Amino acid sequence: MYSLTKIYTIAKSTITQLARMKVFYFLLAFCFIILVAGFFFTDTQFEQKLKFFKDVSLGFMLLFTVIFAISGSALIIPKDIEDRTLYTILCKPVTRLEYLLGKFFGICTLLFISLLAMNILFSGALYLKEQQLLAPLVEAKTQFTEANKQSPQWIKLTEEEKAIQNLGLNWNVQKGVFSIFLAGCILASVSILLSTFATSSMFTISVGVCIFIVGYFQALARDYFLRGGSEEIWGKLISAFVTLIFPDFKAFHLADAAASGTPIGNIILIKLVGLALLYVIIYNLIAYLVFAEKEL
Amino acid sequence: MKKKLLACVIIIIFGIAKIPIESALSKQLVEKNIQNTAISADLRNKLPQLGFMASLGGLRSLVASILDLKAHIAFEENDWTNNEQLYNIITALQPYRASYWETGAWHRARNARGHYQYRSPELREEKREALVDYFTESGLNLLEEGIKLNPDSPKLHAEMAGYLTTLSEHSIKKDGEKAAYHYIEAFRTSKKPFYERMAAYEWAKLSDAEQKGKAYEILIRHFNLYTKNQPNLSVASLPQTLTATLHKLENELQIPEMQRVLTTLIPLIEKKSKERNTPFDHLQKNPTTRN
Repeated sequence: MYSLTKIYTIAKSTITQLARMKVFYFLLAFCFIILVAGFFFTDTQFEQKLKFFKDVSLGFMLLFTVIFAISGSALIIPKDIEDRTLYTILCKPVTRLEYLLGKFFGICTLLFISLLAMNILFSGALYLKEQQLLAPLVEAKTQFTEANKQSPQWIKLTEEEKAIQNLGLNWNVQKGVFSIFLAGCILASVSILLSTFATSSMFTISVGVCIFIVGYFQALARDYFLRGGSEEIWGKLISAFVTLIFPDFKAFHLADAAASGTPIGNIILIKLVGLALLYVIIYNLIAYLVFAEKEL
Repeated sequence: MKKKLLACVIIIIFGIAKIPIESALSKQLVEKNIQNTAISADLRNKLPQLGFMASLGGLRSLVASILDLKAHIAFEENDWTNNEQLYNIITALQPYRASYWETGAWHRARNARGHYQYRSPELREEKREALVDYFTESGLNLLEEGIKLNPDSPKLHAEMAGYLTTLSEHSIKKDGEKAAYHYIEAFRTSKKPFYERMAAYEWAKLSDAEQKGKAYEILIRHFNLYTKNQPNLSVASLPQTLTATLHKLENELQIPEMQRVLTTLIPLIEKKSKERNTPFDHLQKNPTTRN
């Protein structure tokens, strides 16, 4: 019988292990990025300011998440083998699946904590920036009487106010951040799968990065593969390989829409959660099948 | 070995099973403008290598933002050719972001045009005129392209209408009919009555009686709505452009005296305003005054 308590214990020890690697120091770098993106380029239009700030912040959130997901997974299992901790764990009544799931949930929790910390910093700064831009508009609107609320100036101010709110802190931004978390979880499961047969951490990290980049091309490869006609046979074979093996990371990229203020529907988000779950289950299952036969 | 084989089988079966799910989701994301279409070969050639890699790696919006800042610097330095090229790339990277089309067109049709028209005395007259024409047309073309891709953006329609009513240099002619069309589209997509009123003002300026009739119909509706919603109505508080255009249309369409809104309503309003000691004179003295 698989035990949730065992998975929880391994997950907890994974978080401690990663925290001891001083991974949270990245928050200092993120603070610096927020400061630069938020308070430089002040002479641009409000839309440019807000979009640039969101683009930079969300871009770095994605970057840090990718680094954590890949390197966290790549370092943990080989380190356990190297330190012989793995043998101590597996000689107890802990199955290999429980061990892998514990590691996976530990890394996902770390991703969640780090994204939450980044999100709090980012959302706070975005809120301040939004209020800073809204203040003169709100003041200007108080000058208008009831009679001239249909005037072009009033309409312009109202439109500007709406545009700022649309680009400011709202649920859309949070959906964008959540999509980064989903991509991080998939990447963590892929990296765990890689580390079950990899001979070094360097291999897992470099292949993990390649999978992430190729994952952005997957949609292109799929379109090429599904397109009719008997073009170049090698092209078709390569695109079939990419389509079948790699996850579609582009589908999880909602950060652009979040930065631009394009509404992201809840249905889309639910579908993405479903797809992410499917990826995670399958990659973890394959990781287990490979790890089960691994000679330790 | 059996388990490894099973793993391979699962990968392939899962790979086949996920194709329709991923395809449907991708299609939906593009349809809802949440994601952009793939980078074209033309755009790939225009982008620097790093920018191309970054946009493929999911940082397309960030690349567009950085290029937007570069375009802003080009604008500050009056480097209009660079600004134009950068906006061509930016709008190709983020075609569904209306503000990029709007800003790109504004730089060309207002800033670059203004620069060559008023602040380039060193250029020959013909050269200056050619540049003014070029950037104005280029701005309008960019906006036109943006509207094709974002037909439901009131902002772009209103911008286009604004240019069509204000730009009239050299080869560019004002086009009230087209401006009215864009105002109506802006009204359709935003439901803001202001845009419908602006369309009516443009129709009112045209010589066609049918269009004048449409304008009159809209303006009467707006006038009635305005007077109905004003608790402290006075003649002085009436929007001048609205009343003046209605007055003009009533004359041009030869509306019978007793059916004229202004004739029937103004005495009533005047009476009310006299009760509140509000002076009334601007309509009769200067009926064509605009805001």
